[in-house]
Amino acid sequence: MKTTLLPRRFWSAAVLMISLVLAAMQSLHAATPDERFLKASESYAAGEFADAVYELRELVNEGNFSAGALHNLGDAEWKVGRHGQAVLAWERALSLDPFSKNTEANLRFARYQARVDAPALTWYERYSVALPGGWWSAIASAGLWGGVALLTLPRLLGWRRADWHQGMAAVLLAIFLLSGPALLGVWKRSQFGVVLEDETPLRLTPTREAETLVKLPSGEMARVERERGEYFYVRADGDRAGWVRKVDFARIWSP
Amino acid sequence: MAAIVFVLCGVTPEIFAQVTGITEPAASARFEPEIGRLGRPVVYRLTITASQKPLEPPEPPAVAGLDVVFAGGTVSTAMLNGTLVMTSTFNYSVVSHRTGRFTMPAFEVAVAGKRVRVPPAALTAMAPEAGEAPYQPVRAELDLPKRDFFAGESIGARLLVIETPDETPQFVSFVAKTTGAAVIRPSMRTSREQFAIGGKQFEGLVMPVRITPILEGDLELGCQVIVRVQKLESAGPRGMGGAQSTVDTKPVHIRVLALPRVGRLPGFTGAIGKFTVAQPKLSAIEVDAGEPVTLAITIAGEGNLEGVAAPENESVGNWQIYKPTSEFQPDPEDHNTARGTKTFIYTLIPGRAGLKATPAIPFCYFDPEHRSFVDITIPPLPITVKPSSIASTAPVAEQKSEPPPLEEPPKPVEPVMTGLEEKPGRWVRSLGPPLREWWLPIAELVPPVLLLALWAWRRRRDYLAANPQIIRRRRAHTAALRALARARAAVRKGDCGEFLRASAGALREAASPLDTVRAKSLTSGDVLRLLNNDSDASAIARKVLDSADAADYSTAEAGTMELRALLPDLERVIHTLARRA
Repeated sequence: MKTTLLPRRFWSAAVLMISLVLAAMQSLHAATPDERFLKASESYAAGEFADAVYELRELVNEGNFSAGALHNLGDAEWKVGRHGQAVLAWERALSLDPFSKNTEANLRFARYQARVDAPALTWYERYSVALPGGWWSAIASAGLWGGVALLTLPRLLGWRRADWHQGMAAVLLAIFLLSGPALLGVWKRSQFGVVLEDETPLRLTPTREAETLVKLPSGEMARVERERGEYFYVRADGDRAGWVRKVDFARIWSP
Repeated sequence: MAAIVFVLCGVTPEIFAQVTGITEPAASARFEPEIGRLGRPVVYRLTITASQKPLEPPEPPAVAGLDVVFAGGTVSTAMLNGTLVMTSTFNYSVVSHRTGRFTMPAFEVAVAGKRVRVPPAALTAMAPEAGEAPYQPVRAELDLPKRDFFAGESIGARLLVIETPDETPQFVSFVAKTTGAAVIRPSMRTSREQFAIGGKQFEGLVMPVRITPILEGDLELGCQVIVRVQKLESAGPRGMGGAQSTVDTKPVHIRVLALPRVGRLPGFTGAIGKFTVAQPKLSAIEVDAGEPVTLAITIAGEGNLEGVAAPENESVGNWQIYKPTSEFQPDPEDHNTARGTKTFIYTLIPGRAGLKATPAIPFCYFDPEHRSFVDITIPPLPITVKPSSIASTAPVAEQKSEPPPLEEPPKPVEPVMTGLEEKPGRWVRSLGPPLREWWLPIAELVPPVLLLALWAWRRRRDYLAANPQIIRRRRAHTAALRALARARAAVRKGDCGEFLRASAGALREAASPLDTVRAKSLTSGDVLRLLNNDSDASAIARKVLDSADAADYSTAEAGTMELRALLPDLERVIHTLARRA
C-alpha cells in the first residue's frame, strides 16, 4: 500500500494560500501612490490620456494629494477635453506647491485658451499666495508662542535674562503680526472654486427653472459666498453673482 | 372717348369709379377641393370683384386646426356693361391638422374705401385612406466627409434639399446655422442633381457650403434653410405658385480635434488644407544696399486660404522685412471659394552690399488628411546687392541704427502647456490649510497650557521654599503613617518587638514637626513633653516608648502581645500629634 506523508488536499490548499498571500503582497506593493503615479505617467506618455486621468483621479479620491500628481492630472484632463477639471487640478497643485513654474504656466495657458482672466485678488490674498496655506498657520503659531515663550521662560525657569531673549521674542512676535494678513488671505482664498462645465448657467434663484443671468465658461474661478441645497451662490469677476449647481462647480480646497 | 376712359381706369381707378359711379364691390370664397385629406394642402380661393384691387392681400381670420399661408394671386380686368371691372383672386395654402369640418368665417375686406363682406366657406378634412402616405415636405441634410476635422479647417460640404412626392424645391433663399460652434458659409449657386443618401437615390437641390469649426470637441452641426417649394398633388402641378418653406437639417455629429502641438514647424500661421507655393518673384535681381525690393509669393490650393496670414519675419540677417500685403483670388470654377490663390507681397531692404540671396521665409501648413504639418518654406532667391550710391561708405550698423518704424508691435508669446512632472512630490492627506481642521484649536491650546503649567509649578515651588515647615510636616506625617502601617503588619504577624519599634518610630515621626530636631533624635521625654496637655495620650505614649526601650535594651523576651490592644489608642495619639503639627 502506497502511503504519503501528507494528503494531496493539504498541498493544494497550501499552494492556494501561498498564491493568495503573494497576490495580496503584490497588490499591496502595486498600490503605493508613487507606483500609481508612475503608471499614470506612462499611460499619458503612451497617449492613453483617459487611463492617466482614471489612475490619478483614483489616487486623489483616496485622499492622496501631491503637487506632481495634481499637475499631471490637470495635463491629462486637459488632453481629454475636460478643461474645467484641468484648471481645478492645476489650482490645487499650485496651492500645494506655489513655487511650481510649470503649473503656473499651465494655468496661464488654460486661461489664454479659454479667454478667461485670472481672478482678481486683494493685496492680502496675493500676499498669502507666496507660501502654501499650511505654512502660514505654522509660522503664525511659531511666531506667537515662540515669542511668548521667550518672554516668559527665562523668568519661569530661573534663567539669567539675556538681550537676545528680548530681541528674538520681538522678531517672533513681528513674524506673527506679519502672518496675520496672510492668514486672512488664505481664509478668503478658501472660498475660491472653479466652474467645471462649459456654459454653466448662473441662475437668479437656486432652482432648476430659475432665470439664467449669464453663462460661465469652464475653468473660470469664482468665490463661494453661501450655499443652499444643491446650489452654491458664487461671485465671479465683474460682480457676476448667482446660483450654480454644485455638480457644475468645485471648491479648490474641498471643505 | 372709350380709350380715355380705359386709360383713366388703369391709372386712377378711384377717379374712374367716382366718375362712372359703379357698382358695389363683391367677394366670394371657397375651398378647393371642399373635401381634403388630413395634412395635405388645399386652396382657399378668395375672389373680389370691384373697380380696383385691394392694396394688400386680405388676411383671413385664424381657424383652430388650420394653417393658412398666402400663396399668391392674380388680377384680371374685364368690361361689364361698358364698365371696367377688376377681379382679384387670392390663393391661400391651407393645411388641416385634424379631421373634421372647418368653417372659415365671414370677414370684411377694405376695397376702394368700402368694406366688402367675404362669405364663410367650409372645408371637410378626411383621414387618409389606408396605405396612403402622409404628406411629405421637402427635407434638408448636410453632407460632410466621413472623418475627423480640425479646429479652423475649412470643410467642403454639401447642403442637400431633397425633393419629395409632395413638394419640389425650387431655390434656396436663405441658410442660417442653428447649432454648433462653427461658421457656415453657403454658396450662392445651387444645382439640381441626383444624389445618394444611405444607399438610396434622391433628387433635389445641391448647394456647396464651407464649414469652419471654431472649437475642438464633439460638435453637433445643424442649419435652417428657407426654400421656395412647389407643392404638388397627385394630379400634377397645381399651378397655384410656390410657397416658402422653412426646413431644419438633420443634426450632424462631427469630432473636431485641436491641431497637434507636436511636429509644428516654424512659420505656421493657421493654414489648414493643401497648398503649393509658386516660384517667388523678385521685382529686381540687382539692387543697391538700402534700396527696397519686392518679393511676390503666390500660394495656391484648397483650404482656409482666404483667412491665412502671411508668415512674418521682421529682420533676418542683414535684411529688413516689412509686413506684407496680401490679395486673395478665388478659383472661378469653384462655387464656394475653397480653392484659390493668395499672393503675399513682401518689401525687403538689404542692409549691406554683397548679399547674394534673399532670406528664406519659413512657412508651413497643416494637412488634415495626413494629420501632419507640411513645410513649404519660401526658398532664398539669388540677388545682387551693390553698395549704395548715396552713402556707399556708411556701415550697415549705421544704416540699421535708425530702422523705419514697424507697423505693428511684436505679438505676445502664446502660452503653451508644459509637460508632466516626473516626481509626485510629498504626499499629503489634505488639500487646503488646516484652518478648518478639528485638531487645530487643540494644537493651538497646547503651548499656552504648557506655559500655564510651568507658571503654576514655579509659583508652588517658590511658596514651598518660603514655607519649609509644610514639607517637614508632610514628610513627618507620611513617615508616621508608614511606621504605623509597619506596626499594624507586626500585630498581624505577632511580632511584638517589631510592633513596639514601629509604634515608637511612628510617635517620634508624628512629633517631629513640633520640634526642631529630626525624628530619630527625639527622646521619650521630648515626645511626652509635646503631649503634656493630654494625660491619656501621654500615658499611652509613655507605655509604648518605655516598652520599646525595654525591648531594645533588655535581653529578655519582649512583652506579650497584649500590647497590641494599644494599637487603636496609638493611632489616636498619632493623629493628635499630626493635628498639633
